[in-house]
Amino acid sequence: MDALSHLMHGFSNALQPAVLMYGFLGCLVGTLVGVLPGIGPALTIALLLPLTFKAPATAMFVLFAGIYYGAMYGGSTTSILLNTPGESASVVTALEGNRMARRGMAGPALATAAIGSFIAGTIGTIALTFFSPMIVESALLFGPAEYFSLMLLALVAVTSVLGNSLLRGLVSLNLGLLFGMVGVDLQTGQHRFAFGQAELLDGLEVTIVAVGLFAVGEAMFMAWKGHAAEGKVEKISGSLWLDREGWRRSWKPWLRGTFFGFPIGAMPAGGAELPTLLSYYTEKKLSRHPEEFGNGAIEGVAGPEAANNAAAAGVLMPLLTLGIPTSATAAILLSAFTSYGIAPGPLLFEQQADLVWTLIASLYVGNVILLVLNLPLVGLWVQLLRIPAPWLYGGIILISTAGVYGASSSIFDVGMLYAFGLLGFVMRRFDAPVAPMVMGLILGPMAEQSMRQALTISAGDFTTFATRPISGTILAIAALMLIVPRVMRARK
Amino acid sequence: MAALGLAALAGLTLWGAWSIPQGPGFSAVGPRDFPLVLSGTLALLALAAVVQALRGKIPDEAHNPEEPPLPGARARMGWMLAGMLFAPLGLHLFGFFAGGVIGFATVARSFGAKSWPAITGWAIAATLVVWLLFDKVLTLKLGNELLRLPF
Repeated sequence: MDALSHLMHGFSNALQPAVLMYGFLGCLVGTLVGVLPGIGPALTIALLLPLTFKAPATAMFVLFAGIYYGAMYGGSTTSILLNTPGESASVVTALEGNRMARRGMAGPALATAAIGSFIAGTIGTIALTFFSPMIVESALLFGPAEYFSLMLLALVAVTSVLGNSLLRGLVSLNLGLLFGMVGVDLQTGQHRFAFGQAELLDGLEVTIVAVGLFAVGEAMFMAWKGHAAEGKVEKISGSLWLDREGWRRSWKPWLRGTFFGFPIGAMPAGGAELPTLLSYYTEKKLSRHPEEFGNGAIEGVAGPEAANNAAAAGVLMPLLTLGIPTSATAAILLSAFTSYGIAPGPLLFEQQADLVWTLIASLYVGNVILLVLNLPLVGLWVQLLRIPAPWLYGGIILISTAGVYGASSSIFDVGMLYAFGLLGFVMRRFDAPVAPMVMGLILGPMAEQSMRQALTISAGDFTTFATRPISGTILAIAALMLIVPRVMRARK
Repeated sequence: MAALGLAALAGLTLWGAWSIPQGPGFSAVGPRDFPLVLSGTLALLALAAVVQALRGKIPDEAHNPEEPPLPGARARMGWMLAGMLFAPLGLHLFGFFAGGVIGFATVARSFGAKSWPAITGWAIAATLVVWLLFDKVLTLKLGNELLRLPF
């Protein structure tokens, strides 16, 4: 019941006109970047990070939450109409949704995606509301040793889930961790990897690395390939609402997708790819029309879209309660918290109760805004897809440069931005995943600090990580996650 | 090629990690240990990558059978890289407006825009909008004057 009264208080904050404005703006911007191929929520929030110096924390996080959820809605529009999934989690949506659009059923596909997203997002947010306080309670028992093990688990999860090759995933993660070490060591004040450059002493700016890898790297890769100008935007055909048949075939996949999405997204290992795939194959198996799968089955859009959005809500749980990001976007959100001097984690719910509950309440509000915003305005979003590639990518580079330069007025930072862009290009060309690098950059220093704190407490005894019960269990799970998938694959 | 580059990078980080002073030795894990372990791992990974590359196991999008890059990739990359060199230069010497226009124009060109008047027009318009939005509305510091003279 305590959660409920907190939530009510959160609503009274979130419905203030000024906060509501930020939420609305966030949803609008989020949908926009979700629709545009090549820029996603991680990048957008990274670009807006410099603003955290100006605006109050609550407004900013409501804005970010809107962007985060909005990008999920917008991404499905692009997948369905253009067949270029903006992110790996909407690959499945592109598969079935685009087929539906080609069969003249774009309207129902968009509708089932939007309504499914709304239902899954709302159920996910309800779960977030009521499970988070429970996790916080147990997390208050965590010491540095437990945190180190948790971060190790998150890192293991990132590498085992993402990418086609373990080696390249590890290289990306390892480089990210090393980038995280750059600068002055917090405990001893030693310079590390600064190579005599004063600009590097503060460490690598998350904004610069993320924007460079995601935006500049993507733009270079697209330019190099030269296919950006192609791609056919399907017409919006059919009614933008579900008929009786559509509702009947959609509601179960929505609920099943939510059921897959939230728990997996909430695990320090999850992400959104796994639940969307699980949901897709489940629907295919349960469907009375399995022959339609591959040719545009509405269940194949409804389930994965719901799973995707429920996972998005799930990802917020470890972030808010433990301070552990499990996706690139969550990692960027984490650095936004830190730039306000707020440390996410169990204490957040006590010390910043107002902020947290306003944020959670605005997630409910955002879902409603997005449902209203998405379907009626879908024609407007489609126009965005018709922006010619040269102007679109020119604009992306311009905004990236302005965001980085505006934050620091430093040419050195602009140079770094382009250098990371080049790195992002090389990684794309040789099929190395980019997300583990950003995760490593942010998790690396955190993991190092908690490891060293834990060792200080245990007087240098390394067994502390294995002998403390919670920490030991988490380590065991991490080890299992490394081993089990490989054993299973070897058996096949 | 990329694997060799990675190996070189691993060497650099190893050297960089080695040169971090360990400091007074009262803690079990000092400031040098994490970087050292990580760069050691990176060196091993780089070695594995070189082996994989020699066996031809690392995919290169340049030889992607389904969707190879269109001809003229070099020219497009050339424009892109030129922009990344000259945009910061313009930014440094003449302020945000010059840097922005150069950056936008080179990127647009590398995405296949042909007509220079159109490119310049769009570049000027986009830079103005971004400058107004970031400097005036969001009050980031892009430089108060649009054009600055280096002398």
